[in-house]
Amino acid sequence: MTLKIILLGFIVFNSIQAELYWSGEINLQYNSYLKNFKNTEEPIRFTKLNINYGLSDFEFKSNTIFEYRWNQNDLNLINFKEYYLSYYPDFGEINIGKQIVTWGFADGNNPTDNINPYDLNYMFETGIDRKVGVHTISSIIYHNNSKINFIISYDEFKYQFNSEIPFECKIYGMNEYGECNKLPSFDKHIEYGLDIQHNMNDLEFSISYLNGKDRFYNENIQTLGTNLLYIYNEFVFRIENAFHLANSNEKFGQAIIQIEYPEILSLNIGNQFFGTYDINAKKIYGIGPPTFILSEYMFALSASRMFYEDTIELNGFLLYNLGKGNGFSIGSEMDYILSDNIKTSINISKFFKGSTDNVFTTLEDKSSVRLSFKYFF
Amino acid sequence: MYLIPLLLANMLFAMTGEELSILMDNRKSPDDISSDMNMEITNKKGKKRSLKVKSISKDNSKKQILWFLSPADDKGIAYLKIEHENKDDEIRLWLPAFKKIRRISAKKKADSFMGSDLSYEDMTSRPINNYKFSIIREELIDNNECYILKSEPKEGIESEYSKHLTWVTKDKYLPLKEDSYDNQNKLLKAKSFKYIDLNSFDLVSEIFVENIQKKTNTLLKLSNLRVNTNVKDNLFQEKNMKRLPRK
Repeated sequence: MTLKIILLGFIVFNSIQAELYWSGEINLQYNSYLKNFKNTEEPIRFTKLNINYGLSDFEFKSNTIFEYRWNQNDLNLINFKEYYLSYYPDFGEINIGKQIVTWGFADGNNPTDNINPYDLNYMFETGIDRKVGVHTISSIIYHNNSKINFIISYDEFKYQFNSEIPFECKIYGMNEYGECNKLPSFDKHIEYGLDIQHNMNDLEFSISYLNGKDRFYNENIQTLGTNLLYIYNEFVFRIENAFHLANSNEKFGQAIIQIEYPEILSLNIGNQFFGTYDINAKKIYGIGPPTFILSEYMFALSASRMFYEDTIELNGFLLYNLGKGNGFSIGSEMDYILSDNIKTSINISKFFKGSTDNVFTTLEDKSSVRLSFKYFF
Repeated sequence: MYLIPLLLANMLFAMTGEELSILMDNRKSPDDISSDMNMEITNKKGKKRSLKVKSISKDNSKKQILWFLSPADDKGIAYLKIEHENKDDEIRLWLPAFKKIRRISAKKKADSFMGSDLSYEDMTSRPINNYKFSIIREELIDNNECYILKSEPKEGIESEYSKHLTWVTKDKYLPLKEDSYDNQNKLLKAKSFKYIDLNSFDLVSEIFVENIQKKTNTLLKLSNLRVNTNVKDNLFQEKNMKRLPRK
């Protein structure tokens, strides 16, 4: 009887207090190469579904993705990217489960953000779309103008990529393994880290430490990161530096400087300069964002503007290889907002090879056009 | 020589612009306000789109947190603003697609707020010390006797506007409408305000903003208004941006 009363009480309490939120998108997309307009073999994320169920200071969050490959006619790629429980006590938050944790101040290409491996099928996407969720306990403690983020993860930390695309092995130098396209298998292991952030008026900084494994070589690697954000009038500077120390005692660094400019002629402009500096590293390690591994130094510029009564958004993008052999990529995306919930877009990415063979020579054939029709719910 | 118009102005109106602005600022206001906002944005061609936002503010909106509920593409985005007196304001956005809290420059005041005709400057309060005030005339609007208050940013104060003309009721010191001029002194925005009486507080229930130059407009309607619900200071923390508020 007592148990029944408790259960009934719990159900009544649940129905009063609990909240269920969901959101997501359905994406009909077609990708083809520019050279022959044949369909690319890349998977397409045709549905994203986020479900949040909150009760008091607890919230269950999930992020599920359904993928599809046109050429293989299969629908078997269900990716439970994230599913975790969040608890929000007075001091901050605690998250337990498969999740994506982001560090760093720059908007993408964060060298200090190495908690989650990358999904190389989506390496030119933005945000968490290109990350792989890992089983983690993360907590953030807020205290006045500071916050401390602690993480401990247990997983395989495997890169995801399309085994049918041959260019990854050339890009990432995986042919060192003799068999192109195959990454070494990792056992599940523990990685842990700490990020301490402090805010001082127009200046914010953080120091982070991560102890984990390199994503190419089964080798322990420690990363010491520093982040700086400085706001000067309408300019915003975001600077990150990661110093990596491998078990073999090889050392190297990765850094990024991002500048956001005041709006000019309704154009939002930002640029990044990023690169790797070797101290004594003899090989290319698989830590840091994949774009860092493409070249030693890169320059990126992005601009966006709304047109035609805010119904068309035009985005332009330039990625220029300042390293050996040069080469560059230009991209543009036009989004047409049909209604509050429907958007169509066309995206063209064209790679141009440089003076000598490098990654951009390989990527030239991968220039592509993408058409998509998205419904948001 | 310059004293004569000043003396005349003082003789004409019962109070100065500064006094009126202080009375407006001292108007009885609740400690905190919660509301649901519905923002309807109309473009030059008459096409409409709408945003639904949940808002909680405190200390005369010096602290404010907003959660976007629709359109679906923007669901989950949150905005946190904390205004400071002795240092620059802080504005942060929670972007679920990036799982990142992103601090933005509070000085990008002229930027549009989520594509509406309201700018970030329109969303922040005007510190009295930063403006010069004068009453330029009186007018009757919808049977309300109003002062027309001119506010001009003092030298060195950055603003997208050169001046505002605000129609302020004589009885309750409520702004009923406002014309804002750009830095070329051309009329940029015309705003009008409606109020409801809730627990003896006069609260804004509707704001209509028309961008005269772009020929676009935004209608912001507030519903489910609640006041003095004992909102704690620690609500205005990053962690609360990450979860949508309970209904």
